[in-house]
Amino acid sequence: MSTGGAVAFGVILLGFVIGISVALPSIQSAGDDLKGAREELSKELLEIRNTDLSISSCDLNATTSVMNLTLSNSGTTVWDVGKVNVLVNGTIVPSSVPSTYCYPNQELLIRVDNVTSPSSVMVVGPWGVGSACEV
Amino acid sequence: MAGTAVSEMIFFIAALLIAATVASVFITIADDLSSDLEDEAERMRQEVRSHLVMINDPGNVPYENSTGNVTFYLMNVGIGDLSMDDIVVSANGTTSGGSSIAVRLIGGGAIWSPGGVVEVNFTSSGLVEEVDYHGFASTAGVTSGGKISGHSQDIIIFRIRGR
Repeated sequence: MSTGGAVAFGVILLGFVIGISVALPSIQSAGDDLKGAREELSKELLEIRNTDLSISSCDLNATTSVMNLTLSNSGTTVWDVGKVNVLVNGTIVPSSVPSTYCYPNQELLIRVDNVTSPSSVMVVGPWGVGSACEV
Repeated sequence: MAGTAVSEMIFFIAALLIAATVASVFITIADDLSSDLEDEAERMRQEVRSHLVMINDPGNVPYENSTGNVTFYLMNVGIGDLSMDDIVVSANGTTSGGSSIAVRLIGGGAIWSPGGVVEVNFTSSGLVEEVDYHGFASTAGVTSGGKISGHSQDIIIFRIRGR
Protein backbone atom coordinates (compact mmCIF):
# COMPACT_ATOMS: atom_id res chain seq x y z
CA MET A 1 0.00 0.00 0.00
CA SER A 2 1.32 3.47 -0.89
CA THR A 3 1.84 6.14 1.76
CA GLY A 4 -1.25 8.00 0.47
CA GLY A 5 -3.40 4.89 0.74
CA ALA A 6 -2.18 4.15 4.27
CA VAL A 7 -2.86 7.69 5.43
CA ALA A 8 -6.30 7.67 3.74
CA PHE A 9 -7.14 4.40 5.49
CA GLY A 10 -5.98 5.93 8.78
CA VAL A 11 -8.17 8.99 8.30
CA ILE A 12 -11.22 6.84 7.47
CA LEU A 13 -10.52 4.65 10.52
CA LEU A 14 -10.20 7.75 12.69
CA GLY A 15 -13.53 9.07 11.35
CA PHE A 16 -15.15 5.73 12.07
CA VAL A 17 -13.78 5.69 15.62
CA ILE A 18 -14.91 9.30 16.22
CA GLY A 19 -18.37 8.40 14.81
CA ILE A 20 -18.67 5.42 17.14
CA SER A 21 -17.47 7.46 20.11
CA VAL A 22 -20.05 10.16 19.30
CA ALA A 23 -22.88 7.63 19.00
CA LEU A 24 -22.01 5.35 21.92
CA PRO A 25 -22.98 7.65 24.83
CA SER A 26 -26.30 8.43 23.11
CA ILE A 27 -27.00 4.72 22.53
CA GLN A 28 -26.26 4.04 26.20
CA SER A 29 -28.43 6.97 27.28
CA ALA A 30 -31.30 5.82 25.02
CA GLY A 31 -30.97 2.30 26.44
CA ASP A 32 -31.14 3.67 29.99
CA ASP A 33 -34.23 5.73 29.06
CA LEU A 34 -35.98 2.68 27.61
CA LYS A 35 -35.02 0.56 30.63
CA GLY A 36 -36.44 3.28 32.93
CA ALA A 37 -39.64 3.44 30.88
CA ARG A 38 -40.06 -0.34 31.06
CA GLU A 39 -39.56 -0.28 34.83
CA GLU A 40 -42.09 2.53 35.23
CA LEU A 41 -44.60 0.66 33.07
CA SER A 42 -44.13 -2.58 35.06
CA LYS A 43 -44.59 -0.70 38.34
CA GLU A 44 -47.72 1.04 37.01
CA LEU A 45 -49.25 -2.23 35.75
CA LEU A 46 -48.52 -3.94 39.07
CA GLU A 47 -50.14 -1.10 41.03
CA ILE A 48 -53.23 -1.14 38.78
CA ARG A 49 -53.50 -4.92 39.22
CA ASN A 50 -53.21 -4.62 42.99
CA THR A 51 -55.66 -1.73 43.35
CA ASP A 52 -59.23 -2.61 44.19
CA LEU A 53 -62.02 -0.84 45.98
CA SER A 54 -65.63 -1.42 46.83
CA ILE A 55 -68.39 0.62 48.40
CA SER A 56 -69.43 -1.15 51.61
CA SER A 57 -72.24 1.23 52.49
CA CYS A 58 -74.02 4.20 51.03
CA ASP A 59 -76.41 6.09 53.33
CA LEU A 60 -78.31 9.28 52.64
CA ASN A 61 -79.80 11.36 55.42
CA ALA A 62 -82.77 12.90 53.62
CA THR A 63 -83.23 15.54 56.33
CA THR A 64 -79.70 16.92 56.23
CA SER A 65 -78.99 15.94 52.58
CA VAL A 66 -75.71 14.42 53.75
CA MET A 67 -74.57 11.20 52.16
CA ASN A 68 -72.02 9.00 53.88
CA LEU A 69 -70.12 6.48 51.82
CA THR A 70 -67.91 3.79 53.27
CA LEU A 71 -65.23 2.68 50.87
CA SER A 72 -63.16 -0.46 51.44
CA ASN A 73 -59.63 -0.82 50.20
CA SER A 74 -59.82 -4.42 49.07
CA GLY A 75 -56.54 -4.31 47.19
CA THR A 76 -52.96 -4.41 48.42
CA THR A 77 -51.85 -0.86 47.62
CA VAL A 78 -52.05 2.33 49.66
CA TRP A 79 -54.18 5.06 48.07
CA ASP A 80 -53.78 8.75 48.19
CA VAL A 81 -57.39 9.66 49.06
CA GLY A 82 -56.97 12.94 47.19
CA LYS A 83 -57.30 10.85 44.04
CA VAL A 84 -60.77 9.59 44.99
CA ASN A 85 -63.68 11.22 43.16
CA VAL A 86 -67.40 10.84 43.85
CA LEU A 87 -69.92 11.08 41.02
CA VAL A 88 -73.57 11.59 41.95
CA ASN A 89 -75.98 11.29 39.04
CA GLY A 90 -72.97 11.35 36.73
CA THR A 91 -71.52 14.62 38.04
CA ILE A 92 -68.38 14.93 40.18
CA VAL A 93 -69.34 16.45 43.52
CA PRO A 94 -67.14 17.87 46.30
CA SER A 95 -66.50 15.38 49.07
CA SER A 96 -64.59 15.32 52.32
CA VAL A 97 -62.46 12.57 53.77
CA PRO A 98 -60.85 12.50 57.21
CA SER A 99 -57.49 11.02 56.25
CA THR A 100 -54.77 11.33 53.66
CA TYR A 101 -54.08 7.68 52.89
CA CYS A 102 -56.15 4.52 52.89
CA TYR A 103 -54.32 1.29 53.67
CA PRO A 104 -55.23 -2.24 52.55
CA ASN A 105 -58.20 -3.73 54.45
CA GLN A 106 -59.04 -0.29 55.84
CA GLU A 107 -62.29 1.56 55.29
CA LEU A 108 -62.57 5.16 54.24
CA LEU A 109 -65.53 7.28 55.24
CA ILE A 110 -66.49 9.85 52.61
CA ARG A 111 -68.99 12.61 53.36
CA VAL A 112 -70.88 14.34 50.57
CA ASP A 113 -73.06 17.37 51.36
CA ASN A 114 -76.10 18.74 49.54
CA VAL A 115 -77.17 15.50 47.94
CA THR A 116 -80.78 15.35 46.84
CA SER A 117 -82.48 12.49 45.01
CA PRO A 118 -79.41 10.58 43.89
CA SER A 119 -80.20 7.83 41.44
CA SER A 120 -76.62 6.75 40.82
CA VAL A 121 -73.50 7.00 42.93
CA MET A 122 -70.08 6.02 41.69
CA VAL A 123 -66.67 6.35 43.32
CA VAL A 124 -63.54 6.44 41.20
CA GLY A 125 -60.23 5.80 42.92
CA PRO A 126 -56.62 5.78 41.88
CA TRP A 127 -55.85 4.54 38.33
CA GLY A 128 -59.51 5.11 37.43
CA VAL A 129 -60.67 2.03 39.35
CA GLY A 130 -64.34 2.52 40.22
CA SER A 131 -67.24 1.13 42.19
CA ALA A 132 -70.94 1.97 42.09
CA CYS A 133 -73.81 1.66 44.55
CA GLU A 134 -77.52 2.28 44.89
CA VAL A 135 -78.79 4.66 47.55
CA MET B 1 11.44 11.78 -11.46
CA ALA B 2 10.00 15.13 -10.51
CA GLY B 3 6.86 14.25 -12.48
CA THR B 4 6.41 11.07 -10.46
CA ALA B 5 6.74 12.97 -7.19
CA VAL B 6 4.13 15.50 -8.26
CA SER B 7 1.70 12.83 -9.34
CA GLU B 8 2.23 10.96 -6.05
CA MET B 9 1.59 14.19 -4.19
CA ILE B 10 -1.63 14.71 -6.17
CA PHE B 11 -2.75 11.14 -5.41
CA PHE B 12 -1.84 11.62 -1.75
CA ILE B 13 -3.89 14.82 -1.47
CA ALA B 14 -6.79 13.26 -3.37
CA ALA B 15 -6.70 10.21 -1.11
CA LEU B 16 -6.66 12.47 1.95
CA LEU B 17 -9.62 14.52 0.67
CA ILE B 18 -11.67 11.41 -0.10
CA ALA B 19 -10.79 9.86 3.27
CA ALA B 20 -11.70 13.07 5.11
CA THR B 21 -15.03 13.19 3.27
CA VAL B 22 -15.80 9.56 4.12
CA ALA B 23 -14.79 10.13 7.75
CA SER B 24 -16.96 13.24 7.90
CA VAL B 25 -19.93 11.26 6.52
CA PHE B 26 -19.33 8.60 9.20
CA ILE B 27 -19.36 11.22 11.95
CA THR B 28 -22.49 12.94 10.57
CA ILE B 29 -24.37 9.62 10.29
CA ALA B 30 -23.34 8.63 13.82
CA ASP B 31 -24.38 12.02 15.16
CA ASP B 32 -27.78 11.87 13.40
CA LEU B 33 -28.31 8.28 14.56
CA SER B 34 -27.53 9.10 18.17
CA SER B 35 -29.80 12.14 18.07
CA ASP B 36 -32.66 10.07 16.59
CA LEU B 37 -32.12 7.34 19.19
CA GLU B 38 -32.30 9.84 22.04
CA ASP B 39 -35.48 11.39 20.62
CA GLU B 40 -37.10 7.99 20.11
CA ALA B 41 -36.22 6.85 23.63
CA GLU B 42 -37.62 10.08 25.07
CA ARG B 43 -40.80 9.68 23.00
CA MET B 44 -41.27 6.08 24.14
CA ARG B 45 -40.69 7.06 27.74
CA GLN B 46 -43.33 9.78 27.45
CA GLU B 47 -45.76 7.35 25.77
CA VAL B 48 -45.42 5.11 28.83
CA ARG B 49 -45.72 8.01 31.28
CA SER B 50 -48.83 9.50 29.60
CA HIS B 51 -52.08 7.79 30.42
CA LEU B 52 -55.58 9.20 30.71
CA VAL B 53 -58.83 7.48 31.63
CA MET B 54 -62.41 8.68 31.13
CA ILE B 55 -63.97 8.33 34.58
CA ASN B 56 -67.56 9.27 33.76
CA ASP B 57 -70.39 7.15 35.10
CA PRO B 58 -71.09 5.43 31.74
CA GLY B 59 -74.83 5.27 32.33
CA ASN B 60 -75.12 8.90 33.40
CA VAL B 61 -72.98 11.24 31.35
CA PRO B 62 -74.15 14.81 32.07
CA TYR B 63 -75.91 16.43 29.13
CA GLU B 64 -77.68 19.78 28.73
CA ASN B 65 -80.71 19.10 26.54
CA SER B 66 -81.12 22.75 25.56
CA THR B 67 -77.53 23.43 24.49
CA GLY B 68 -76.26 19.96 23.60
CA ASN B 69 -73.44 20.37 26.11
CA VAL B 70 -71.72 17.10 27.06
CA THR B 71 -69.44 16.79 30.11
CA PHE B 72 -66.56 14.34 30.14
CA TYR B 73 -64.28 13.78 33.12
CA LEU B 74 -60.71 12.78 32.30
CA MET B 75 -58.31 11.52 34.94
CA ASN B 76 -54.55 11.54 34.58
CA VAL B 77 -53.60 8.01 35.67
CA GLY B 78 -50.10 8.14 34.23
CA ILE B 79 -46.89 9.16 35.92
CA GLY B 80 -46.26 12.35 33.98
CA ASP B 81 -48.13 15.58 33.38
CA LEU B 82 -50.70 15.81 30.58
CA SER B 83 -51.50 18.74 28.32
CA MET B 84 -54.83 20.50 28.82
CA ASP B 85 -54.35 22.47 25.59
CA ASP B 86 -54.15 19.38 23.37
CA ILE B 87 -57.33 17.64 24.53
CA VAL B 88 -59.56 16.30 21.77
CA VAL B 89 -62.96 14.79 22.63
CA SER B 90 -65.65 13.14 20.62
CA ALA B 91 -69.22 12.02 21.25
CA ASN B 92 -71.45 10.30 18.71
CA GLY B 93 -68.97 11.13 15.96
CA THR B 94 -68.75 14.85 16.74
CA THR B 95 -65.12 15.67 17.46
CA SER B 96 -64.09 18.84 19.26
CA GLY B 97 -60.87 20.38 20.47
CA GLY B 98 -58.99 23.64 20.88
CA SER B 99 -61.22 26.65 21.38
CA SER B 100 -64.44 24.67 20.86
CA ILE B 101 -64.10 22.90 24.21
CA ALA B 102 -64.04 24.27 27.75
CA VAL B 103 -61.49 22.60 30.02
CA ARG B 104 -61.33 23.04 33.79
CA LEU B 105 -58.99 21.31 36.22
CA ILE B 106 -61.13 20.17 39.14
CA GLY B 107 -59.65 21.59 42.32
CA GLY B 108 -57.95 24.41 40.41
CA GLY B 109 -54.42 24.82 39.12
CA ALA B 110 -52.75 25.03 35.76
CA ILE B 111 -50.83 21.75 35.59
CA TRP B 112 -52.64 18.49 34.97
CA SER B 113 -50.50 16.26 37.12
CA PRO B 114 -51.00 12.54 37.94
CA GLY B 115 -54.24 11.91 39.84
CA GLY B 116 -55.77 15.17 38.60
CA VAL B 117 -59.18 15.26 36.93
CA VAL B 118 -60.27 17.70 34.23
CA GLU B 119 -63.83 18.50 33.29
CA VAL B 120 -64.30 18.94 29.54
CA ASN B 121 -67.46 20.57 28.20
CA PHE B 122 -68.27 20.51 24.51
CA THR B 123 -71.28 20.48 22.20
CA SER B 124 -72.78 17.42 20.55
CA SER B 125 -76.36 18.16 19.59
CA GLY B 126 -79.23 15.75 19.36
CA LEU B 127 -78.23 13.14 21.95
CA VAL B 128 -81.12 11.43 23.70
CA GLU B 129 -81.45 9.25 26.78
CA GLU B 130 -81.58 5.45 26.63
CA VAL B 131 -79.41 5.36 23.50
CA ASP B 132 -75.82 4.02 23.46
CA TYR B 133 -73.13 6.38 22.21
CA HIS B 134 -69.39 6.14 21.72
CA GLY B 135 -67.10 8.72 23.29
CA PHE B 136 -63.42 9.35 22.86
CA ALA B 137 -60.80 11.53 24.49
CA SER B 138 -57.13 12.04 23.80
CA THR B 139 -54.33 14.36 24.75
CA ALA B 140 -50.57 14.72 24.68
CA GLY B 141 -48.04 14.23 27.44
CA VAL B 142 -45.83 17.01 28.75
CA THR B 143 -42.20 16.51 29.75
CA SER B 144 -40.76 18.05 32.90
CA GLY B 145 -39.30 20.72 30.62
CA GLY B 146 -42.75 21.63 29.28
CA LYS B 147 -42.21 19.98 25.90
CA ILE B 148 -45.12 18.11 24.27
CA SER B 149 -44.23 14.44 23.96
CA GLY B 150 -46.19 11.21 24.14
CA HIS B 151 -49.89 10.62 23.70
CA SER B 152 -52.79 8.92 25.43
CA GLN B 153 -56.39 8.19 24.57
CA ASP B 154 -59.42 6.41 25.98
CA ILE B 155 -62.85 5.44 24.72
CA ILE B 156 -66.17 5.00 26.47
CA ILE B 157 -69.58 3.60 25.58
CA PHE B 158 -72.10 5.77 27.37
CA ARG B 159 -75.65 6.98 27.82
CA ILE B 160 -76.50 10.54 28.64
CA ARG B 161 -78.38 11.89 31.61
CA GLY B 162 -80.29 14.90 30.32
CA ARG B 163 -81.11 17.92 32.46
